[in-house]
Amino acid sequence: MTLSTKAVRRLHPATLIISFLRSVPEAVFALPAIVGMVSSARIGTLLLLAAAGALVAAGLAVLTWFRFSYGIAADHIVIESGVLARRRRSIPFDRIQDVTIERPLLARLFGVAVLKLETGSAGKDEGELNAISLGEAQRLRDGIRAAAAAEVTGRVEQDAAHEDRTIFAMHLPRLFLAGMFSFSLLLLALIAGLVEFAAPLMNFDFLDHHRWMGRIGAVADHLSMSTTIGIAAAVLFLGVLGGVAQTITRDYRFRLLKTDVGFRRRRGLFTLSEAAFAAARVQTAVIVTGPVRRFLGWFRLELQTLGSEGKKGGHHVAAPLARLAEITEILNELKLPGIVASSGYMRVSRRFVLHRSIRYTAILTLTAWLVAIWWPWAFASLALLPVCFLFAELQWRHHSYCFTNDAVHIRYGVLKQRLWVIPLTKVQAVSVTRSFVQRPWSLATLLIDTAGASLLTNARVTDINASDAERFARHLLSASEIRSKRC
Amino acid sequence: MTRDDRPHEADHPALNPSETMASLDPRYRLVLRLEMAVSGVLTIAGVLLVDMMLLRQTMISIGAAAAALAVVLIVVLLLVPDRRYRSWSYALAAAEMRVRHGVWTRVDTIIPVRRIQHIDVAQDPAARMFGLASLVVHTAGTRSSSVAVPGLELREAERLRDELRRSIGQDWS
Repeated sequence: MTLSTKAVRRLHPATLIISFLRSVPEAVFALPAIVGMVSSARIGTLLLLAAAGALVAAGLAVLTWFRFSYGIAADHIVIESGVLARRRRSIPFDRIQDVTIERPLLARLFGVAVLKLETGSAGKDEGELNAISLGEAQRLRDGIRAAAAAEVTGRVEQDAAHEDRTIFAMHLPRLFLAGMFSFSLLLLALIAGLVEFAAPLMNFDFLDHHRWMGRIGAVADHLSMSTTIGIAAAVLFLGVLGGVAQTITRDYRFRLLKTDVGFRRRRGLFTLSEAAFAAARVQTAVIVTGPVRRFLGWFRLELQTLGSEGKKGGHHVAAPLARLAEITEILNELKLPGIVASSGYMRVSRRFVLHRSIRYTAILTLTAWLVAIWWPWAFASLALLPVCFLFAELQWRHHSYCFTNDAVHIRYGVLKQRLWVIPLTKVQAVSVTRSFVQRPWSLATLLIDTAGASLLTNARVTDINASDAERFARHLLSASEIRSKRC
Repeated sequence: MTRDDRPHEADHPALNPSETMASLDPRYRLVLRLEMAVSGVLTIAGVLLVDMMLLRQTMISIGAAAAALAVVLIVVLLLVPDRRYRSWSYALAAAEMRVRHGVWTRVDTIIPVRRIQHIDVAQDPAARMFGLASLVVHTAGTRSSSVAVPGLELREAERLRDELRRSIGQDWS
């Protein structure tokens, strides 16, 4: 299949209808506000103005559609846009990292799809075709992928569109289970939002501060133990329900497919989304679990890739809820280093517990002391210190690391337990840091930087012997050096 | 440069002592002093302004806070630049670049040369007055997306840049 037909193409005409339909809800929501504001103005004039506005907007939309075109050359795609200020953007196929096909509900009704091209730059140079027919989107995706594969393997694939193999899929029962683990207060927020929206209609001012305070006081007087538990249970129930609803909407018919250059993820109930990634772009695998999930043997696999900024810090969920064996299978398929059995791990220094305890004591004492200026009872919070020490101990038990020939494995976290599997070839830089608390104990922290890593939860080994840290840093870099020379 | 000015190997007892790390240009202390003095004086001026405008009725006399700040500034100017200057050191080997810095938390970063995406030589106004520059190395990583070595003589910074560029070139061929 070749793409080199350099004709100018336009977006699907249905795009216009979709964008019109999308703007309807906004107008409907804005209407009561407008009517409320200018109730004294004559309705006739208002309607006339609205009609004129709609006409201008429609004209602009048609013009924008007419001035947006794209064309496919042998090795790049050209996108031209802009009504007055024209912009011509060309994206070489070998620079395209991810090709995503998204099908929101409206687009599905019209048989069209949104094609997104990610290049890994800071978001500006990306291409979006919103929207083209589904067949066209699939043809473009396959063509771009084949071109990129030819770039990688040095030969042109004769039949790039051969069937992709499913390496992981989630059915409804498991989807439901995954939802149970993802507590979400979205539903609660939705209800609150609805109440606020409906409040003016019910002639009751929910934002009336004094009224609220009076009510809360009255409620608090009558708040018995059982009502408190009841409310907590209701919130918990709504949270779980929200999680289930959110997970099913997002991950319905979750499928991970292996393609000739990487993998493809398909999911969604209303909005069908399909994302394709090149295997070479995967930097790190992160396996996430929680205390309950771990006890039941469930894990989530996230892949950290280059060039997917803004989306969860470059992390893509490759398996929302899976057994360890399934994750190992996926990692194998993607030619990533496998998981090491828990016996192979080393613990960090025992002084980690003391270090953390000192830190928590300092934070708690300082906060209590500051709050005590206004509220002397704040010192009672120091009774929490034993809990902090216990937590520090638990943190130590959940922090370990392991070096293998091709990867470094780091486990960290009590409530959200993470396991980083970082291929040595993907290590960008290594830092050894020693704070003034660590130095007297000759401890150090080893930080391993990879492309696309998040700043908040990055891979680090906290509190190991300073000499070990230095040795590991050397090992990491020399191994990555040898390995990348070889390939 | 006196012996005392050089970074003490004893500051990093755990790290490989056989490796010789270069220290920054001693004039970097003057750059630091100048920068700190400017921001300190600006802060004191701001405090004085607020003092005169808002706090006329307080019992503390006008300028007391500013005077206290000035004393702090003098002490800081005497002590901090030397410590900061001494905390910096760097080394350039065939395959990697190494930068150490930090007074309270000491950071030792190693960047493989072939991970370097691009190199900057930057000069801010204070550094330019003393003919100094900083070498900024960029990688695709997050934390190490830019690693800077400040306080280098401009010619030294350019020499390092060219050396890095050469070794990157060798790595690719």
